[in-house]
Amino acid sequence: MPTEEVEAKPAKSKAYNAESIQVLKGLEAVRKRPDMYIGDRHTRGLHHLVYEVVDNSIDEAMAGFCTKIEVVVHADGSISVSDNGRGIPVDMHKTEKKPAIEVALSMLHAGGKFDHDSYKVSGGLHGVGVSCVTALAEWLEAEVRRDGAVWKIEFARGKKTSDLRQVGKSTKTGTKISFRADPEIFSDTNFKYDTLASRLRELAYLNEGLEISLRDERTNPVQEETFKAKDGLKTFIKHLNAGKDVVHSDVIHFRKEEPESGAMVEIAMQYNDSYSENIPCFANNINTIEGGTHLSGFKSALTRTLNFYGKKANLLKDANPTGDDLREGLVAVINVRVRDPQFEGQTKTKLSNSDVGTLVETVTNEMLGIYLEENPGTAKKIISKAVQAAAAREAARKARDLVRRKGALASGNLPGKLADCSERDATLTEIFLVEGDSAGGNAKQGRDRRTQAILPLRGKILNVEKARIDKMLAHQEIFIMIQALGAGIGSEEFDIAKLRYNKVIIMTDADVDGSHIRTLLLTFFFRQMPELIKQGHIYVAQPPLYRVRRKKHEEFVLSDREMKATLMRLGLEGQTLLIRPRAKGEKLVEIAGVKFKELGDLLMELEEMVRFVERRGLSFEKFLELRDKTGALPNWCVRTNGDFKYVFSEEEGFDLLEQEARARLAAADNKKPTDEEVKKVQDEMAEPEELFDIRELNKLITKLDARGLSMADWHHGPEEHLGEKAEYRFALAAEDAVTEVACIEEILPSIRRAGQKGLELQRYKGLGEMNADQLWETTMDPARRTLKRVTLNDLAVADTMFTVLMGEGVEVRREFIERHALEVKNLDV
Amino acid sequence: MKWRCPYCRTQIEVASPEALPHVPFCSERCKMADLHGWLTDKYVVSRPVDETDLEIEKMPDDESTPE
Repeated sequence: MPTEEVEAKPAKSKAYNAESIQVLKGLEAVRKRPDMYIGDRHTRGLHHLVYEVVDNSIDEAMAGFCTKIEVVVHADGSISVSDNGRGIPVDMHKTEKKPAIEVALSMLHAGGKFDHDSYKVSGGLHGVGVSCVTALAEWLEAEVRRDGAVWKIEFARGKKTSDLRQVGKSTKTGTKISFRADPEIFSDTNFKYDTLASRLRELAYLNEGLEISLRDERTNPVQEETFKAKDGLKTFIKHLNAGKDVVHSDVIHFRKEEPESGAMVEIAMQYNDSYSENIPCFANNINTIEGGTHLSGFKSALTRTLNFYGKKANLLKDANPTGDDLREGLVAVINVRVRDPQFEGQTKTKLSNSDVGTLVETVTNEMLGIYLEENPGTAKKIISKAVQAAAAREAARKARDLVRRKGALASGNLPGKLADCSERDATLTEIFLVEGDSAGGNAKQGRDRRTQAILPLRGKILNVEKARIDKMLAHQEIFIMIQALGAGIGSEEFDIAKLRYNKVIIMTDADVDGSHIRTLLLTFFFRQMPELIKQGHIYVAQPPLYRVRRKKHEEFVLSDREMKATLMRLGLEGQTLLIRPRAKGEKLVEIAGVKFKELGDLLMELEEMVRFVERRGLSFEKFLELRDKTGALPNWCVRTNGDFKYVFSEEEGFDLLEQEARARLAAADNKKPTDEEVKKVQDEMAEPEELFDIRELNKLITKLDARGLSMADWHHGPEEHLGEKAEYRFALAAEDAVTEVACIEEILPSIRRAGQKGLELQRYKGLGEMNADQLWETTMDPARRTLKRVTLNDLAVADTMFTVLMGEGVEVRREFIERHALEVKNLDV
Repeated sequence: MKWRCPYCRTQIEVASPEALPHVPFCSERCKMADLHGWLTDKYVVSRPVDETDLEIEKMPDDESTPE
């Protein structure tokens, strides 16, 4: 990037002495009306005092005479600002007949900055000058090192208390101004470290190479920071983009100066992936919060240049990005220096020099144009972000139009498919969103017509290919749902007060398709009607999965897990587990009652864990063979080529990886690989992974062992037991019968079989299999049903699920589902 | 916490997604652009065909269902 470096030319500057200080107006009335000069008497005004003094030093830096500024907040709350500039002149001022420094410190609108020969450009608070600090300080003293001597002058509340006098000798130069803000003026004289730090940091960014330090002696330990930006605005941009994902790594930076006018333009910019833009801009170090000509010049040049490049490079396609689109995610800093800055606006922070606007625009057009040509990769990233922004803006516009046009969405027309309730009081009503072929009809028959409304929804199957099923909620269904709810849609039209029902209940089949439609609906509510969830209006119905009948008694069971527990409960009734002796000296063990129940719970835990283990592709029986001498199972694994290999420690895992790496190299005809090569291959493989479920499994096995169940008996085929004494290791003894059980693996199924005796069991594949009465009894009757209220947290998960389910990558989807199946036992949202 | 806008995928630092003025989006634009997706059949969930499509139903212990 071509940049023109500013070169300080102190030699050409006119001498900085008493003649340079012009007097425009006497220092009066500042103490009477401080707000007029420093904004207010509170935090803002208070900190302005420091900035005003610092700005004096910055002027020296801008002129090329000062490289270091030190700001100290002393323990008593006073401030000193020192620099290594030339020192404020101490010789006699011609017209005022006073030392120049006294004029500068005590007369309003006095200062070197009104004479362009001393400072071509200068900052400061609109030229009020450091004298207002003198006026508003309880005390102020200035110490100047200049011409081999140290000079000092003192003031209190705007009045000189001690004449300028020489107090010592020094070979150094510089100015040190110390003061304490006057508590008679300010409601609070407590300087805030962070406020000072943020402005000083900003100044360091704006003045490349200048070192500014801040020390706060009020705290113990002393808080201290030094700001120095080697790369000026580039560092500023990095600071602003810290923690954000940037679109391109390179910070675009250019700078140009007009020698004759002394004007300078410097701009740095970088896009991040966010929606908002952030363009702080400065004129002569003043943060022009209200913008101005420099900002508008930059914006119009940016729009023009990016569009021009985009068209030329054929990156825009049909998109027509606006300035807003092109600035989405933009972080830029504009820094201009001009001789006579003019400010307007509420807080006098809007730059109004029109020539500056033109200059910024020309410079940006030219320099940004060159940058884009030279960096097509970055250019493409920026343009494609803007194209996406334009597409999103367009989609949003269409949605707004649609919502407005379809005024019917808001209220009034109720959809024909809706079977509404008769109750008009919306706090008493509920609506069931029902998915499933015949479920809608049953729900209509089974409902309480007074308070319950039914809206049947149908998921639409788009295409069934060999390997996947695509499903969606067609827009007609969405429209109908919005109409039925009555609260409207969209950022402007949605009004929760118009919601026609107190409970919105999603009722879908308990299968995969049902869960998908549920996910779609929940995602829709989460994204488009989050208020419904926040206020707790959304519920998910819990239809039963099983109907269980025993003799005359009927009950409904909600989940597989609950079903298993029910069977266990029934199966354990009146049963005793017998563990028969195997070796000499062993005794027959009998377990019954509470102990049997505890054991049953442990066995259920084991069953669950066995499922996990077997999902990794190894039967539990084989897995048990890997146990070490102590009986522990390996709890580390290494994945190679999609296989799981189990080891007992991380070290062993790494050894295994190394072997595998060597094997791979050997297979690739590298018989004697170097350690480096082995390591390289090894690094590409997944690291050993600790299996936390196995750690739990080991604990569980120990517990079972203590109760007489040894894993040696996990699995036995019938042949092992039909010897001379045709007796199994275990048996279940009840009053009327003894059931032989071959091995541990068979204990739970045997118990459940016992529990199933005399049971009539029906599994519902869908809501449609229940008749109207059953649906009412199990799922809809407020007195008997279970409803799950949906929280925003559930929905964040649903949204993630949705994003994954929507995604194109089948592989990503599979992995996600498997991982979650392993981690969380119940994926059901 | 870090939150990604569900529409433009921008990462936002928020106390919670609820704190966003256009929950759960970063902006009104993204909320409305997402709505456009719902109203124009853009959102499709798809899944691999699995055994439930083949109507294989299992009992908890894959034993025969008693009468």
